[in-house]
Amino acid sequence: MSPTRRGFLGEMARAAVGVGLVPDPVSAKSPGEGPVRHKWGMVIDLDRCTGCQACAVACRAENNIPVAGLVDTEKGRGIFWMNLLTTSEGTYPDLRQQFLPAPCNHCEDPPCTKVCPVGATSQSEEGIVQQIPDRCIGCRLCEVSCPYTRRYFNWTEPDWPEELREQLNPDVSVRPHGVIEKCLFCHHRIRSVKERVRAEGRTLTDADVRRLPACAESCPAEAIVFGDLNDPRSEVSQLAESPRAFRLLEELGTHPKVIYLREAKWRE
Amino acid sequence: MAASGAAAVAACRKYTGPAPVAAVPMGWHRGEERAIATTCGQCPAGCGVTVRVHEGRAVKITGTRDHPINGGGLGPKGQAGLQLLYHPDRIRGPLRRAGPRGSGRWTSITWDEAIGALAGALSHLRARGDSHALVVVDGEPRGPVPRLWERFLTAYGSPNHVSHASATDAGHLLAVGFMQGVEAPPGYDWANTEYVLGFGASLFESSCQTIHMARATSAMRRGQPGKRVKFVHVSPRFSVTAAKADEWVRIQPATYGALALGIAHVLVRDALYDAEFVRERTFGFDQWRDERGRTHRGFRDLVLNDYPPEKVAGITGVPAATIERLAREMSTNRPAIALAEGTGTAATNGLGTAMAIHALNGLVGSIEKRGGILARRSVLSSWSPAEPDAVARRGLAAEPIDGRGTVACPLGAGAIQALPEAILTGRPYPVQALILYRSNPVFSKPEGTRWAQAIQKVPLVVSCSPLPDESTLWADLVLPDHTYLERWEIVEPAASSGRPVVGLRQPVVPPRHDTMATGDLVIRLARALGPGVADAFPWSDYRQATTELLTSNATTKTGLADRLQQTGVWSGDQAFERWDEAFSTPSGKFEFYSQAIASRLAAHFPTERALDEHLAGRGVLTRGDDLCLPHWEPAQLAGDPRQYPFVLDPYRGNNYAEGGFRHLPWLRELPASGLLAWSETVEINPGDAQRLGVHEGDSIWIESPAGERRVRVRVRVGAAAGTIGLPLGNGPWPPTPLDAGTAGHGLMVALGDPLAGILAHHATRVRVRKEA
Repeated sequence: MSPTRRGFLGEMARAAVGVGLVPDPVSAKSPGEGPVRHKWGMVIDLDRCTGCQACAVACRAENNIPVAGLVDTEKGRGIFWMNLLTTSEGTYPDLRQQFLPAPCNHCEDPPCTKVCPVGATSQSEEGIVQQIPDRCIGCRLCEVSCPYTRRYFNWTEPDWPEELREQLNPDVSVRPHGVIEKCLFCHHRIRSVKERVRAEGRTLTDADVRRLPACAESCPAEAIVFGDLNDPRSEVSQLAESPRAFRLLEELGTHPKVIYLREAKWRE
Repeated sequence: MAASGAAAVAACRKYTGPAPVAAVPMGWHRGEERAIATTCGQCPAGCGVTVRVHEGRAVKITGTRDHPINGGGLGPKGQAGLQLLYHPDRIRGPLRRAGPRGSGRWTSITWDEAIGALAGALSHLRARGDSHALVVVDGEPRGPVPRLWERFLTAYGSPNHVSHASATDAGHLLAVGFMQGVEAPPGYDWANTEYVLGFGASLFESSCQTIHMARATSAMRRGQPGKRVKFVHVSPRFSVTAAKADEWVRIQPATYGALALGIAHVLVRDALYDAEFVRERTFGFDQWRDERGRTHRGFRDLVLNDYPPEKVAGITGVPAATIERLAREMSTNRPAIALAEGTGTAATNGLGTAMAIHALNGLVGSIEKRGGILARRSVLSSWSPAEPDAVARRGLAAEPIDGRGTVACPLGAGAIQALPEAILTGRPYPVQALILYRSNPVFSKPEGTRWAQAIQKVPLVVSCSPLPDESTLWADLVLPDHTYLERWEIVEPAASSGRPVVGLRQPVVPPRHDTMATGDLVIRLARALGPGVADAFPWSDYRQATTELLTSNATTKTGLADRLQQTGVWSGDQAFERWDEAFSTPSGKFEFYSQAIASRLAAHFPTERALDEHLAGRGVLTRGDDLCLPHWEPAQLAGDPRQYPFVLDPYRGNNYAEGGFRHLPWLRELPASGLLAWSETVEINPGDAQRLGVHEGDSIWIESPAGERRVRVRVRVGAAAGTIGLPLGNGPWPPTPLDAGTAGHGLMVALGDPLAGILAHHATRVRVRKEA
């Protein structure tokens, strides 16, 4: 019931408009004097996932993603930073269906950042593929260069009925019409937890970030784990070594930092 | 620059959103945040939620950490509560109809006027001895408000507290009721089970347990090193639950009971059952003799003679070898759970089917055992009973309009689908007033057009809905409820893992509009009706009434209240082998042969001949002792197969609960709903689609004996040939009263289990008409 720091951070974010422009209080330090640099990654356990799509709704709520509505949905213009992709094969009753919760892969070698003519997208020092809406000119080169189709173009002016604006997250700015937007690993939450940890005079632990992004926080099956791939003891690092682990389209050499786990072989 | 011109121009358009920084409401500082723990109300599961409130605005709902049901996670429905709270279509305050019914013309009135008007009408009814002609349709399955309505009707003098039970989970509840004598849905010890066999239970999409089950399944699979619990799902449709199960067993629609009895046959034939449990804790396994010396058939005899795997394979389409294997797996991997939850048993053979499935739990000895099925332990106490006066006693003696306790529904708790017929024919008596609480039957019940006609025939119709749904549009008086995020109450969620759980619901923001918690409405209405009715409601308000359920329980008083304040939830421990609580049957045991069924039938039918004639008239094939035992017979279907070649297969998707969420855009637009997310759709098998010449996205008409509806086609490999998959809760928003078609569930025909009243979801034949 007490005021928290997040409100203040919300004001900061609102003032700065593009979340990518806010200096990061920890990683801005030069290596050596500050803590070890993080490399954020996510593990999604498909054997735990039940396809409920809580992650997708949590993401839309947290990141102020507008509802597409009938017309734009039918044109395939719905925006889902966290999507749920479905594949079906076979004929009744010999059927297989796969569900894939699909955020941005935050590739270590991302094709999308290289094609941006205006420097609107880049990789942060902590490995997050970030997007600055104010710089974006809407050319969509990054969208077509992403082999995973995880970049979304804002086809219409974001809009909400007046009453539904009440529910908008004060920590995240709304992207205008005509720019690309994408999953940012909830990095406003990362910044916020770093602030909190610093205020408490301690260092960031795995438990602080394990379920930090809105998708991971919401997952009833605890199928989504977030953490630091640079920390060999983190849960994500350990799960990434699992014999069940794989990355999407590994042969492309993009080195995704979203790692999936599955007992059966994944069929793309 | 490589940028394309058009897109670059688009990007340069003036950016106007988001809204300007809002004023901070009274009592809040700029930047202030609060985290308020409460209990979700989007479905009956009772997940704990923590709402982030920023400067007086609710901006995010997350699961409450360490909550016994959802453990920090939260499903899509729970998160979309914000869109209900801030829904632009919410009704702003009490309304009185100002034009013809359905015209949408209303006058705003005050709550005093609204309650005065309703109390005046009800008082008049009661004074002229027509109190029984008041019907309350109550769509909330459990909780303090249903208890208040029950109390209100007892004091006022009407037997007509009509629940939605027959249309939701009735088969399973009745089976547990008849075989164990327990009235509440049981819990399941998922954490310690070894094997789960689900019969049509849409566990991962929409059940009482979806979120708890997601957690549990995840733990079953990856939670303990070296342990991997197997989950087998039996259903005709290849659903998300089927895809996510370890094994999917395809079956013919409405034949689950035969499969369960086939598995029971193998367990008994090969002595794979839990002999000790069956000997010590069950009744009716072997044949037995009653006090009059008559011999009755035992369960052993029934399964051995009537359900050999080869015969069952012919009925169900499940190979005999699979039946043998499932029996062996269930017996080897104990404790095992057989699940009959949800609408899986919703067919005209529903009660026998649900009993057949539950009998498997008795056979493998899973009742009250670690890893098995646990009777629900209630923590909340009851109010002292209401005393009906002479007028009320006369009213209460009238025949319930939903057939409960009558020859129309001798084994059930009433059948809501019987209401349109009763209202339209005026039999057993004309309905004078209808109150709808959490209920939109014109949309969510079968034969919707008949419901609309029936509602228009009732002289006074009152709706408590916070949203202008199809039924509310026909009302005379609208008394809008708070949403669950604006209300104060104590709730006792479904049993989940068998731990007793009590949840606190508290307002996260002040009520947004001039609405009133229906609990308060009932109390104020009772008071306005004066002595006789008012005496049963001594509380100042709903909050006091619901708190009393908590504090009058001396054993748990202290710990409970403290814990609720802090976390919004209190939970106790699981308990096992409490036989006296688990079995309240005449024998005090798990009854394969339900003596309660025998005595209920005997009460309604004085002779065997009278019963047989009734059964023949209702098309029931089963006779004699088998009616009291788990049994199976073919389901009845409405519609001539030559005219209606397809069978409607209504199913619950994961954006469904309690009538659906078509008014909440986040749930409408779930990513897996694809390009047709905003349309009303049906699923058709690719072979059928090809024969019909229809393609993905085409508009077609579905015609059933109950009506027709224009929908769009989804071609799905998971739909069985010859079926039309109908996602429940699908429909337009906002609704219009003059919608010509049959919205929602109205295509279904109102057939039910002839003895138990369970609404048959699998009972309607349909045909497809291509758009001209």
